[in-house]
Amino acid sequence: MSSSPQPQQQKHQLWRELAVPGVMLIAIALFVGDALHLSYEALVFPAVLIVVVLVALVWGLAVYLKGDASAAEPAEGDDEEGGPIVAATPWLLVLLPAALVFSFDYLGVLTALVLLVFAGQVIFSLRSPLRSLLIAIAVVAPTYAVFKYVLYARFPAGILGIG
Amino acid sequence: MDALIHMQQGFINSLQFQALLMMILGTLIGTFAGIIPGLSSGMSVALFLPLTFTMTPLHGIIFLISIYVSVGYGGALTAILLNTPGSPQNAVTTLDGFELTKQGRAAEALGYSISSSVYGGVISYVAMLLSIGFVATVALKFGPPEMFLVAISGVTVLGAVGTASVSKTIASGVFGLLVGTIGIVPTGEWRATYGEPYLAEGLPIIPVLIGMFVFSELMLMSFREYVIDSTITVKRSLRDIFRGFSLPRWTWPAFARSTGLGVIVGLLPAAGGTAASFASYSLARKVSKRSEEYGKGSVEGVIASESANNACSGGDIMTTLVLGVPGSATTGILLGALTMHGLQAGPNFVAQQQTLVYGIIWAAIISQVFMVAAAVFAAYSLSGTLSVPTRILVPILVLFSVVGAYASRNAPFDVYLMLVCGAVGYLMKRTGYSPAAVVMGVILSPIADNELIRMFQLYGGDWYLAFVTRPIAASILALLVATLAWSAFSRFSARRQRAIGAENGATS
Repeated sequence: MSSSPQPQQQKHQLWRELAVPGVMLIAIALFVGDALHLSYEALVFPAVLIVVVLVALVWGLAVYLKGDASAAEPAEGDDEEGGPIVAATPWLLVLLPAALVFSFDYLGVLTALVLLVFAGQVIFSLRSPLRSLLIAIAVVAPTYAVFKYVLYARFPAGILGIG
Repeated sequence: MDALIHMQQGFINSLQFQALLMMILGTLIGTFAGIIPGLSSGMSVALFLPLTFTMTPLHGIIFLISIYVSVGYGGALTAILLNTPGSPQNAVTTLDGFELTKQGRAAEALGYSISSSVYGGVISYVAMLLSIGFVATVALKFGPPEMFLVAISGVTVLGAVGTASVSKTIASGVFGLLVGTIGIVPTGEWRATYGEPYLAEGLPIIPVLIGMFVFSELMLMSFREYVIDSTITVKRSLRDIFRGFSLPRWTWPAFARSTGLGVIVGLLPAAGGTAASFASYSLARKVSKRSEEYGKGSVEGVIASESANNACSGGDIMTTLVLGVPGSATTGILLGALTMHGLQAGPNFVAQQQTLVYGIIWAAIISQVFMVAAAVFAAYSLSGTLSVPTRILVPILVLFSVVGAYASRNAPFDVYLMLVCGAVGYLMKRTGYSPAAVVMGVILSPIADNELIRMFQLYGGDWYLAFVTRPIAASILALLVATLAWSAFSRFSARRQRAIGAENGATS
């Protein structure tokens, strides 16, 4: 009975270990998909790089499977925070701006950014909605002004017409 | 004579009101960012890069360099007072700095840290001021094979000098090189863009930088309730801090060695301040007559670490400006800033924009005055509870990241790219890969790619022979191979030592 969590944990660790190689392989497949038509001059450099990446990934996995911890010392920041890699909060931090940027044209940048900072605080913990909203407005207003009037960024106005 | 005139003009330009204002602003931001653990120099410079869009190249670079350098000053304060390095380059300072604090010598340690930083920094910038013209003249002799090798070395050196897994660092760096080749090739072909016009000029560097350095870190921070939550109870006086400004005579050799080593490490592409401070501390400990004090509150230890990481910035900036190859991931962002202003760093840049280059160096020297003032003020006044809740800081930095990525081209595409880079950077940090190596790869890739294609055009089918028939290229290649061999050997012997140690432990 007591031995069952260990293989489960090992399986979990293996999936973790495969996450970045998986992302890299998808990116390489996409790259190759739109690079096969290229001339020799344009193809040779990326082709060599793809081979080196694949070799390095296989090497890294071989080291991991061999369990050679000394050769696979963690990188700076490796797992330093300790939470599960698929925890909700960090991924909500990605999804929230993605959704709000999608709505830039409808909501307008100013409204979307206030919502972003407000919702960002809610993700962590909503202590006082009014205070969170005031913080959002207090931070967004000067940031928006600097980017619009000093850096001349062009922002969509959206339905409120403030852009 | 010509160089002297440009030097003089650069000095005058660096004393303009706006230039001084940028130094002060950059210093305040950098010192503040340095105090907050998790806000590294790369992250801070990437975050504030969009603010330089409308500045002149001189003012923009001064602003960013001031942030970059002053993060080290701020980071040392929390390393000494709280045993928490504000940025990775100050990690070694905690070993002796915090021990000194425990012994009631915090003010002295802060003084040594600030003074060795400023002395190391000024020496490295003066060396840069005097030698950059000559180095650029040598670099002008570099052709496509040499530039290709220098660009590639940026990624390979990261694998060799880092403490992380070699395979993962190389995979990260080469992956960065690969995605950096996306865009229109010098042959006129569109490579891996899927016809997307936003990718025509290659992967835009600002969203990549903000995603990999800033957003990935914010995702990591989200697990904590507070970014920092500590109480400082140590009493300090200005007099004690300033007493640390006169380095004891017996620490001079350690200071000189560390400053020299810092400059040399800075000159290596991709090595950076963290490698400099670790290497310097380790060397100082090995050769010191008081090696037994290291780790127990050694003044020499604090001086070795802090002088090296600040001296490194001079060499780092010189490599970046002269070769167009970043000395570290942070100075890679400076390259991005120059590119944004239509300038391409490299030997021609140094030769043709001498006034600007000397202006940047003078500003780096002058800004040390503001950095000392800001660091002394922070060292003296940091007290009570230092508490930064994640629920406030992270949403604000997410806002800056989104707006910064968007504003570079007014394109939502860039925000999505930044978010993708952030998510990938987060996964990489959690599993031991190196986002900094990816960034280095993305920055260096266009240089390597263009130089290789020029080699095909110049040397035809025998292009690869140019690496061994040209003396400078052959020397760089030999140096690169030697670095990798040395790294492999030292890792192998360290592993063997550990195995022998474990065996001995088991038998006894």
